[in-house]
Amino acid sequence: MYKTWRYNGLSMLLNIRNLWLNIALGLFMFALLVFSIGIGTKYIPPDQVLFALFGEGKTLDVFVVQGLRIPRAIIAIVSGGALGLAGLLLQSVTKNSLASPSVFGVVEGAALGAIIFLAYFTDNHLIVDVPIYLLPIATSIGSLLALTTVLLLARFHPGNMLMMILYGIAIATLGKALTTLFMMSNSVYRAVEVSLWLTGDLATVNVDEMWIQLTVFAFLFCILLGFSRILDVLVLNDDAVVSMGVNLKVAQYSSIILAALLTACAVSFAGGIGFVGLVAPHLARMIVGQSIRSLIFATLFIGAAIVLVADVFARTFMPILFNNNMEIPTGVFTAVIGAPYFFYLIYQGSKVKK
Amino acid sequence: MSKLVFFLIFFIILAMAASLHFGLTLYNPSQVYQALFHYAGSNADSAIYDYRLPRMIIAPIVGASLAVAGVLVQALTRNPLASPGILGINTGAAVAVAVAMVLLGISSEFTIAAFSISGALIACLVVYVIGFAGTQGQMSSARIILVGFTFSALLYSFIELIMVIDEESVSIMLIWLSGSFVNKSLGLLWVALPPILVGMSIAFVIPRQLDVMVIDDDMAKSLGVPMKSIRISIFIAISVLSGGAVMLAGPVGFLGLIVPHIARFFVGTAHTVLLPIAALFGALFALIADIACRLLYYPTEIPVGILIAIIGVPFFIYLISRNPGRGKSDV
Amino acid sequence: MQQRRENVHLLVDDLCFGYDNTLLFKQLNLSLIKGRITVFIGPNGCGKSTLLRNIARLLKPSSGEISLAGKNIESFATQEFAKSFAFLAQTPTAPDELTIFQLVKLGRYTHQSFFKEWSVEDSEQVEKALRATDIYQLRDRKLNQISGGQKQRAWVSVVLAQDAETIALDEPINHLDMSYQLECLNLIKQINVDYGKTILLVLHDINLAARYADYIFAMKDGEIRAQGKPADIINTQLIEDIFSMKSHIIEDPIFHTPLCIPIASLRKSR
Repeated sequence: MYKTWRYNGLSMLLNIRNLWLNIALGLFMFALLVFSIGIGTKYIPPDQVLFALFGEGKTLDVFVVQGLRIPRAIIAIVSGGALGLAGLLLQSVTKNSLASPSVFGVVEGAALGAIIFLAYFTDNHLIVDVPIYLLPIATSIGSLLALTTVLLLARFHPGNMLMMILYGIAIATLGKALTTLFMMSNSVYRAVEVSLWLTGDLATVNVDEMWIQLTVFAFLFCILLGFSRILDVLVLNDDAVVSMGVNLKVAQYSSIILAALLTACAVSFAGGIGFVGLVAPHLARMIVGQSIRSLIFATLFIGAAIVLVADVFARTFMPILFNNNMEIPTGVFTAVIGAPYFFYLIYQGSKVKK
Repeated sequence: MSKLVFFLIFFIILAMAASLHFGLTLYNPSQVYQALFHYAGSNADSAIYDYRLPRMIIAPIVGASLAVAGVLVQALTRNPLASPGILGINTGAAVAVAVAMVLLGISSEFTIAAFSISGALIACLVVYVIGFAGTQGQMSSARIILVGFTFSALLYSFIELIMVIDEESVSIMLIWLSGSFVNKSLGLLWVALPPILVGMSIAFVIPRQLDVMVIDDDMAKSLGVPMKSIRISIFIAISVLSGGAVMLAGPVGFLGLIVPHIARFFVGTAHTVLLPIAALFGALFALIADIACRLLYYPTEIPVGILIAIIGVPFFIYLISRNPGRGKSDV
Repeated sequence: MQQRRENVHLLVDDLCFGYDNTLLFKQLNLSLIKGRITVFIGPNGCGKSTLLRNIARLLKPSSGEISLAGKNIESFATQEFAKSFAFLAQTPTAPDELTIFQLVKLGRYTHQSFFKEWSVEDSEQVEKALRATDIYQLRDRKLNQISGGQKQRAWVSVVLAQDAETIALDEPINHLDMSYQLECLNLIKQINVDYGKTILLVLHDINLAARYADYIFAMKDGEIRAQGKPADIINTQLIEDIFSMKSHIIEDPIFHTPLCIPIASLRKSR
């Protein structure tokens, strides 16, 4: 099952079964990517998509694929992956399988940051008059602020991670109320846009945003990988974690902050797509088990696949069913799948208790 | 007790009077008097009679119904952290109203009321079934919050869906969803009032049964309380109260959470006293909040639901810290 | 009883510690020698677990100094300390889906790094730990597929894999069936003999303590009331003092260690 790889002072332990599973998941995600790029008002068959990826084939196809559909698909993938990984981090650090970015107030905090940013830097012509790459900074500040509040509150109950989740929900509620307040005090047109964006919406993304998000995500992902060793130990109880030689506080705080940044990275561009952070780590765990590095990649692929599929549904649901050009927010689909799963988890939890 | 009732009624009347005077423009008592009794169609008359008077009547009714619904939900779940807003019952009613008004284009007030109440009832049943699945009849605070939050998130995504389907409805929906007493016709009130009164009467008939129920099921049964029928009546009462309130003002959250606690602070836990006092406090609270949301952000008016949520969350946090979960097993 | 300074492995000097405002330890002193099994006994709440947690750096003393091999434990870096001191706390938990191998591998955390995550030494130490605890064959089983005794052996295996000179175990045999208790203590004894590890144990059962300990600290109310070899210190007087219990002490016919036969509690009923 395990294979060791050593070279000079370097060494690595590979779980072969998980490696293959992850490769399969990656290929699956790539296939989904190619299909999802093909699907839309103008259907492009998968082989043509592959050609167009490399600038071959019909000019129109190349334009549609490279200019319109790839940014959207990549942002879907990166956002799904980032949210899934944020959920994985939070579930590890709280040792609670119900934790996810949305129950930590992180998503709402990020949304609040974005709303305030958009509200203050939008001119009368409804155009944002500062560079859009500043948006992730605003969302990061928002999510970190929300998280800091939750952490400060949770200090009153040391070691009780459940309380942290409950406070997270309270802060999420506050964030939602404040977001609505800011939406109300601005023009209605923007309120509509923003309210769609809050449920998670990929309709308005472009190439610039894609590159910004990819860069930020790549950076955070490297940190996460470097951090994975500690995450592996964090699944044990606190005493055991400390005895293994891990600085528990540092480990907890840094994983929570990393989760907040990952969430902000997703929310900045794709909006508050809920439940991916909850579901993806669970599915990943079912497939590859507990080993953290396999889990990181599996969660990334699964989270990406979920949002990719949800986005395809979002784009095609109304045109197919009602024959019009409407797009449904992506978050609606993830909520419809995710909420029942959450209830199932809660139900399972109470059954185990007996 | 009678002193408290007297004071509450006194303050409610005071707040109602203030509700007619304060706002974007400040009117003096003689203007108010003239608008009410010698309506002549002037700007002031219209603002007071057509605009502020309905608010003055609707706010206390919504406040009282949500407060009583809050007491009932807390008794049903045996948990001080529950409320129609937190469990998503209000949101259920809101989704039903949105479906009726936006998707089906219904304008009949009766039908909307029917939708709102059935929405609340369905949400109430669903959240009850999910919340109690696999437990022994008591919902832990953590469970209530997690289930309610997730359920609301799901329902909100339906609302988003409806807003996408009919883009023109968005601006109205956004305001309505945040909870507000602005621009309500009294016609809506005449439809919502009967079910609210039914809900109130149910609640006021069973206070002693509620007292026993909050302790535990077996105890209640052995004391001869017909648990099943009491529970069904509570479901109905909660649904008509919060369905009626949502139809009037939108899903005003946190009122049903805060007010029962205020009332309990003054008169204790016996439902015979708690229910009427909570109703009065609810009415007063809604009136004051309604006036405050006109003045706080002057000249812009904030939706009252937002104001109550911003006050409510710190209180909610306080309640959570008072009822700490014990860890993973507590969910 | 003063030990010669150069043999002292662990030294607790004027330790003060308390929860909230009440001091549990008032200037507690003790020292112990390398290579022995040292057992702490005492009634509930006497502070034996708290003492061990202070030594393991899970709690921070309000004053006083603890030193390990002549070095103040505060001055160790977190990872360095874990290399020389392994601690198994009471009722450790790990996710059910973890395999034994994955769990024991975590014991190597402090020796690994990002680019050096599975050195030859790592794999040797883990294998050695798994074999010493006799669970090598079970290494790919998940934790929810093994018995309580096997689980406990897996945890002992974790601290073994950590390859620290000193190993402390806080009530390792709690909640175990009697045969598992013996199995676990025999394993600890074997580790002590085979690998020369210094072992600190907190035990509830005075007879098992007497059988396995080289040296005993008997504690009550945050103080050390007696210390020494089991045969030297265990007598009816000590049992009465520590456990408020009338007893009779005989020599264990098989192991020739003191055997305490409880007779009656001397604790005044409320």
